Amino acid sequence: YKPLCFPLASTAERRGGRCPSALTRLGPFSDSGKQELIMAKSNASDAQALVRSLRSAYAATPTNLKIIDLYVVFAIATAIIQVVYMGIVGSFPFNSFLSGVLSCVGTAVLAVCLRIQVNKENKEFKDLPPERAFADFVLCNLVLHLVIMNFLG
Amino acid sequence: MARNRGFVVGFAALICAALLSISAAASIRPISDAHRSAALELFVPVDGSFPSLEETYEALRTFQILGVGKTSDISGATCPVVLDKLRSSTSSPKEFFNALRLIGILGCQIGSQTFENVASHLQALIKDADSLMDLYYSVISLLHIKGQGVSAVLSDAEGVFHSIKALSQSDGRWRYDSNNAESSTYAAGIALEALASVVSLADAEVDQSKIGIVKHDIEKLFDSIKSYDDGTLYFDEKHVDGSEYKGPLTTTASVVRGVTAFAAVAGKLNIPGDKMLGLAKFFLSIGVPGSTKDLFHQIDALSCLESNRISIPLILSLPATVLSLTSKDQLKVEVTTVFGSAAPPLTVNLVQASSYDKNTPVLENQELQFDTENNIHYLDILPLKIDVGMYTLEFEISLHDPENLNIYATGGRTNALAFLTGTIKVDKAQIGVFDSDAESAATMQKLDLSQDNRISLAANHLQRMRLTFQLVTPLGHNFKPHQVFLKLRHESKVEHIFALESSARQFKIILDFLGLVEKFYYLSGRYEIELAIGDAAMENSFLRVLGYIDLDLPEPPEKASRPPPQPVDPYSRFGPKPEISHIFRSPEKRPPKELSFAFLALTLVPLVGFLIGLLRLGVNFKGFPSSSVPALFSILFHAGIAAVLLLYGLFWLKLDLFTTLKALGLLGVFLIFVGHRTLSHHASTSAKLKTN
Repeated sequence: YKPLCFPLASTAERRGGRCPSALTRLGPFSDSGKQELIMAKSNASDAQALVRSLRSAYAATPTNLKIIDLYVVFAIATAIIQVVYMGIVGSFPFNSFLSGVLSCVGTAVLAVCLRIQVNKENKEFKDLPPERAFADFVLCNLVLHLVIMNFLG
Repeated sequence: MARNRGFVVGFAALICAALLSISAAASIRPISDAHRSAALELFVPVDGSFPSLEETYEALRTFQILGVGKTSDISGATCPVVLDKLRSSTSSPKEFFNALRLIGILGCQIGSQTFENVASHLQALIKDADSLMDLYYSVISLLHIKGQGVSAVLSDAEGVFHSIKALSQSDGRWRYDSNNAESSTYAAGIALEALASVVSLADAEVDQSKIGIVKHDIEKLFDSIKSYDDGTLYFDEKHVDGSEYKGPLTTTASVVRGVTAFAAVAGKLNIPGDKMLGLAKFFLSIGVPGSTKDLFHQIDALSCLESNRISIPLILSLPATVLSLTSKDQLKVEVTTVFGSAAPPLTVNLVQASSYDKNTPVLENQELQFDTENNIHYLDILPLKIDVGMYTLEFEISLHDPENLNIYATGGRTNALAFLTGTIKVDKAQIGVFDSDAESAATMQKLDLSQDNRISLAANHLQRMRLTFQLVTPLGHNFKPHQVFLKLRHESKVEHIFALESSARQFKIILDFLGLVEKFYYLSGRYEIELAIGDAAMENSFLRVLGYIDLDLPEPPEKASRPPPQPVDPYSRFGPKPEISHIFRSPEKRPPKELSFAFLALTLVPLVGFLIGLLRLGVNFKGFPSSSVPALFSILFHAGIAAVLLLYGLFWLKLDLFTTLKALGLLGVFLIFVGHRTLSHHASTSAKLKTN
């Protein structure tokens, strides 16, 4: 069991010394004001370092996974725009709103499932050929969109 | 106003209803012009003729007896039909019968040769006839032919007599034929008429003993006579639901015809005159019938009774049953035959006149004088000092010639109901309001009810109102009318009716307002006072407004009953109703079009972003198979998906679910097949790449 450590972990855990090294720069409790300043400074630089590391890690992912991620972002963005529109004009043809939003969300979910199944690093789906996963994705999408078209009205 | 009139009319109707339920009242009148005009109204030919010969006979016979109408109009169209029936060899006895009895009335020109042919035809029919009706028709037809002057003789009169007589029953009724067990009174009348015709047609004298047996049958038949409460006698069938039931009028008419016809040929029958009188009264008590058949039977039967050999009924009737003392009417009595012809010399004696209510005789043994000019017996009642009221009169007829007793039936004592009316005087009428404890010191106003002056009174709930008056007949006695009512009507149309008490001397009513406060629903205000006095014997019955009284009643308590709602105009509910304005569901507010289009464009932006992102990621078609067959499958796969999406677009636009599902099924199967091939090819190529 590896506890997750947040920048403001409890003093007991810090004293216990179970957190990773980057965050044990925080010394023992002597002056509360000085500690907050140190925490704030370290938070900002920690965040920057986090983003940089995420970016570089993400650049290493295979292209097909990136395509799927882009698709998911596209679907969610469309959903958000529809929600904003409904927020402005009201939900009068509620079935249409639901249909639109759920189409986007549904296809995003299916894409996420595809990503999980296609990802080579995922040991659980080692034996599943990616084409099979893609066929499932296509079929599920078609069924989803049939229902969506019916509900659209 | 209509309600007030209805008030008095209602009382008069009550009295009339009471009258009609009185038995033994001779309200019958002999045949008069009312019957004659009814005959002309009922028997109306259509296009110069009647629908059938039977109806033609009924119409013409009625006209002939009553002495109205013209036969010349009818004969033009009917005579040819009659001639046709007589000349035809296939006519039935009934058709001969209908045709021949018209000849005497119509006066058609028919040669004696035709008659002789018909006569011989009838003789043959009589020999073969086995039912009563056939025998009847044939025999009567033969009699009519004889009546035209052509010699017609019944060869086997005894045999025919016997065959008719054979169908008789022991109770005086007859059967229609030997197969039918049902006996009928109507058939008895038919049979007697037929037997009478047989006797008159016979060439040799019919055996008297046989005639005697038939006379005996007639006496038996008369034993089954029925009577109504008012003394009229009639015949009816024993079973009302028989197949050939004809009502009492038709049955009685048939029996009367038969019996009088038989008496004409057979001599004196042993039937008491009272029965003949009862039968005559039965026919006359119908009044004026409303249908042609009823009128025919009534008139035909009465004409048989008018001059029959048993006894001719004499009808005693009163032309006027309401006699007025004011206009000095005389009591008039008519004694005539059923058709109003003169009776033999006789005297009418008023045996007793008694008051209807109390049954005490007021007159006894007054002989009526005879007015030869008008053929009326009359009596001056004014000098007899009879007061107004309703009286039962009992008359007795005595014939001058004792021989006539055998010929005429006078019927012993006859009862009649008469009204004696007069003007009733309202005397010593007084009305006044007084305090409860000061009755003797009350100031009463005198009322003159013959004039129309209105009094005005005022009272509060602690006072009382008193009304007194006397009613005096023309002879000075106290009069107690049928209805004496006082009505108080409030401004809001709420009415209260009180009956007046009568003592020996006067009529009095005292309204104690303290006790009546609740009855009046605590309504204060102006009440109109109305007095209603009415009686059948009173010529000046009235409903008069005496004036008004202003009543001051206390306030109603919480739980007092409300006055009943007054009737509204019943037609007001059919007037127009208030208009209904329908509220439709207001349509939802829709956003402006520009905003919707803006967001449509905005929704497409992520798609553009996606495509741009794909290009930046560097997508390529390197994975697309190069060789032709797999390439074709790939193309078909993508085309299939595109087709499905197009189908969805069409589904949204115009198709319905079932069509879509059908198409989708087909496309889906195709897509699965193609997709499997493509993807398995792709998988195998990538597996090859891996292993390599």
